[in-house]
Amino acid sequence: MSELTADKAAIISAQKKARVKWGFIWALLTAVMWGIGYVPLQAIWGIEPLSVLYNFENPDSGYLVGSYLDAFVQAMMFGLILTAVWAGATGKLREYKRVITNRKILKWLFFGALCGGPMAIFGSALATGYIGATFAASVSLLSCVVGALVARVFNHEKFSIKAIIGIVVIVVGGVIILNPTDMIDNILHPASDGNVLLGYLGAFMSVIGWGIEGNLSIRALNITDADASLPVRFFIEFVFWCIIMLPLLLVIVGPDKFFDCMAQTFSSVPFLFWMAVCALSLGFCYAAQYKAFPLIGVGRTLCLCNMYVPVSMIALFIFLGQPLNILLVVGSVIAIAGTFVMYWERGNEVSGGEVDG
Amino acid sequence: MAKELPMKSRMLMYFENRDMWDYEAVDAILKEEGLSDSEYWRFTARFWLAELSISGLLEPLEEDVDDGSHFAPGKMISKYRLTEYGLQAIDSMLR
Repeated sequence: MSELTADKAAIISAQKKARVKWGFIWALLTAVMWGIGYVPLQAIWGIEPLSVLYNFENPDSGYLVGSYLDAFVQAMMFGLILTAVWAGATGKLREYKRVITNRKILKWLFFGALCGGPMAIFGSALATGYIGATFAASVSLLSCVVGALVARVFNHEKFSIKAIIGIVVIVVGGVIILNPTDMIDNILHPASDGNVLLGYLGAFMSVIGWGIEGNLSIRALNITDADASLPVRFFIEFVFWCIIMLPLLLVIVGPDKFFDCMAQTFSSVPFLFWMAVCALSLGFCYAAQYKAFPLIGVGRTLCLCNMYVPVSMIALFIFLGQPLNILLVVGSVIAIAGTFVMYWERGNEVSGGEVDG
Repeated sequence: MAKELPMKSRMLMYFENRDMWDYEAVDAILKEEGLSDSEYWRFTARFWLAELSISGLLEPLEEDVDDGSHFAPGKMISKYRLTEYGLQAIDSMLR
């Protein structure tokens, strides 16, 4: 690099500081919106059709069908609202078209969407329905570990000492969140309302699904505008639900029950309203997260965004009166500390060229 | 075909030919897309370059301060070079 005068160096340094400030604002907004987003995700279980679904038959399949519908409507709302509102308002519909018609780019978003949607979001809905939103939120912290392992295998990324220590700390936190003795006890002696095994299976699906998704989608996101490619990602997930997942449900539960569920889902205005609120608040999170990446770096953004877990616990406590589970609090604090060990870099380790906000 | 690529992809491909200052790449893409008059797209295109840099597809070579002829007086400007990883992304996804 050529030598800069002291004046110029001072100007550049001041601008870099301003960028870091904006990056922190975006990342913390993501954490807050994301955490609050768990309130409607939990609350919808108390309104029709989900509230009556698990009464009309035995509770097990009721929850299962409920989670299925929950994940489907999430995909629909995200796909349609983000396309129209987000890509439309940012003037990026032309970019949207270019992304969705480019097979090489679409391929990565498609496989990412499969892992993220029918696997992770559906899994997380199961964990929320059978066990609870605070558990579902905390356990998804473990997807960092899966993401790092997948990157290690497929991209041959080497683990630094920092990363290994971070992973160990996250796993310790994860063990406390999952609380193995309690888990085994719950599985062996399930409470009367529903089989918690499916909740744990859902949690497992969300951890694996989100861990893999990041590694696939990032290839497309790297070379496209996230305001266009994230709506595409959700739209193709919605299409996948329509042509594969819904017919599958039709076969599993039979036409009578299937059309009954659909009618209940689409005639429940409060349900659709809350799902639209979710799509807007969580959709905003994705966009805000991508604004933070170039300002403070991917690692620090991910650490700060993980603060959504304590935010969700506080929000669920305040708005829905969900008690704070001390093990979940301790486990997630440890797991978040692990993500900081793993990802946090000093300001000067972030490559330059960031843009001010 | 090339014009139908997303704008951020197009910008990445500019760097195959030579190292460029951010304002050169921004001017080129906006001219190509007929968006030269828009402040919003200038900002957006500059942000894409920052994203390409943070995700390791480009690397910064040099920094300087804008004299007012590019973005605004006193703004930081950066010169970038395509990385090996960036070239791989172009080869595997953009051709």
